[in-house]
Amino acid sequence: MHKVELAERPDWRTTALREGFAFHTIDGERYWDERGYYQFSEAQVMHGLHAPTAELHAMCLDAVGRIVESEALMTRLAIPPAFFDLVRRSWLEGQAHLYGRFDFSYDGKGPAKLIEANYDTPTSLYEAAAFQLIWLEEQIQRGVLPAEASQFNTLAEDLVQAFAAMPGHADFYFSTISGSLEDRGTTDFLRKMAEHAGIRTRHIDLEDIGLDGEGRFVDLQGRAIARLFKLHAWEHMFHEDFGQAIAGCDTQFVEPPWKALISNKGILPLLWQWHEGHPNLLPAFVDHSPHLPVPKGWVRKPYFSREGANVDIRTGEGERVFEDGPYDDAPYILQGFAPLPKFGDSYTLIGSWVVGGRASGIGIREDDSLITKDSSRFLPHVVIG
Amino acid sequence: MKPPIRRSSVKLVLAGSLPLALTACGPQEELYTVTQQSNYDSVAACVADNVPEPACNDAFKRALADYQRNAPTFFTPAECEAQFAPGGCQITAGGRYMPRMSGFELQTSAEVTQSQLDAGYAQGGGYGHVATAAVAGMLLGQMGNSAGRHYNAQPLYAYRDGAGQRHGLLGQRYGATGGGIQRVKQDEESSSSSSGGGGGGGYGGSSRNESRSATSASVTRGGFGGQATARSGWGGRSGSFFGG
Repeated sequence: MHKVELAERPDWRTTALREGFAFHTIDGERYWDERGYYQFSEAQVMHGLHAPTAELHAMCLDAVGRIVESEALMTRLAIPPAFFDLVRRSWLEGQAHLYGRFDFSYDGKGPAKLIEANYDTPTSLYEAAAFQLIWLEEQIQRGVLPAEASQFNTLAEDLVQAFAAMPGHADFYFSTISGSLEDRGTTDFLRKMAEHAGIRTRHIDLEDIGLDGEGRFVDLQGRAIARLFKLHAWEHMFHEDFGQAIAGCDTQFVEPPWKALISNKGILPLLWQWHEGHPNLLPAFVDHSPHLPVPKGWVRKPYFSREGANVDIRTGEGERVFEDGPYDDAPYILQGFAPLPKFGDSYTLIGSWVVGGRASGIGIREDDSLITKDSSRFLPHVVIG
Repeated sequence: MKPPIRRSSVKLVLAGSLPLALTACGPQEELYTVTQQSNYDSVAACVADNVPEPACNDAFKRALADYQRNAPTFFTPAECEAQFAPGGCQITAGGRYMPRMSGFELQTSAEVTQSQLDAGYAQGGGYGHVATAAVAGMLLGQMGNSAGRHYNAQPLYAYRDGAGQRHGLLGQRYGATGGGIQRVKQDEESSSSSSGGGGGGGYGGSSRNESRSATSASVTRGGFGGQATARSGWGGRSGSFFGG
């Protein structure tokens, strides 16, 4: 694994425009950055990333099966008691799930270390599944990259298959909070994948979803929503007005409620407890003293946090790196500090995707700091040999 | 040389590629309803105009039933003839006066796809060069007597002042207003995610606005999304990359 500098395609912004990739630049800063790429060997990808991704996914599913049978564990994961039954039932019924992303600290040599699992509302999907693939094909066509260059990237194909395997035939609604270009980019891409699978899709803003007198969720025309993809976290929905109507409705939610158990950082201490010493896991514990300073070599994270918010790192040398944020009302965990590898001036994080239960590909983020945030850059990758 | 590791086909992700499952028959295409109205004074005139006989018979019966239920009635012949043609009124069993049914209007409609519609306009010389009614008539003619055609009918009366009256002229097509093309109601958010909207076609006119008011009063909205909105704005933007 190494980083290669490369001239950006002179016309990539036009390509982005044509392809509908609207958020390549955010607040004037590059988000998509093709002035470099990461190169992996096939062995690194298959043994270093693919295999651990598949194994960790199986471990997570196993953990869900254990957690839903224990009210004590669901309490520990901060699931509101009113939703124990919903979460348990969604698992026992085998409600279909679509996708998730593990974030790894990986340098191509030692084992990938699981930083966290984004299993409910992961984004950065379009850039991983589509735009980096288009980049690769163009660079091969133009002779910049060799014909034998490839990617660990069967995301699109696996998404189509996962949608094709979903139960039901009704229209599939895709919902986001209104006004987020990035979220909408993600769901519009997912709609395209669903349509490849022969599914009719519609968009509805989350705020527009209605609840009718019979307890059904309906669209703006009053039609029942039978299948709903929601780019909106379960831990939010549990506390929103419509949360209590979910158990009694017929809507099939994707991701299903049981995903709330894996997207929650509270699962990391459980994984460690049940698989202590696993090479891809970092030591992790529930933090019973969140008011105390973080011990050297540890990281404090809230159960529910996104974009690195409220993450508090104390390096082995005692240096503190902290990202403030709004997620200060949930329990915290302490996780062993695994510094992200540094390539040049940048810290690198690998997002490894699971689609329909398969390890499906990776996307790479770089940041100037140890905490990967919403300002981080997305870089493409190449697999050769 | 070892083959490179497998990756998705780029065709799956390109914006320009159509959903694979749907390419050939195109149920994703916009649908339009084309309609044409023709007036006939008899079933025979209708059949002579190449409309299938069962459709003509049925239209006549429907128009007659409508007439018997809904025709206007008047207390005196003079009142009736003030509106309808002289001699065009008759007495009813109840001793009132009503206009005679002088014929029926046959409305023929069918759904066509955007590409069929485009082809129809192209044959006529292009949009703007050919009247909507002419295209509607041509498309319906091309469909033959297939099951895709739907018929409706209503009674006609002979008005005193025929000019400008919708039902005024017997045995004659309506020219510019005798046909119509309307986009089939469909909310614009449906399907075709990659198009980024595309907009509602330039003719007919979709009726998306009515949809919001059509929902029943018992539906409540806004019960999802409040929690995330409460946390947004942190860090300056509402992104969610590598989020949760």
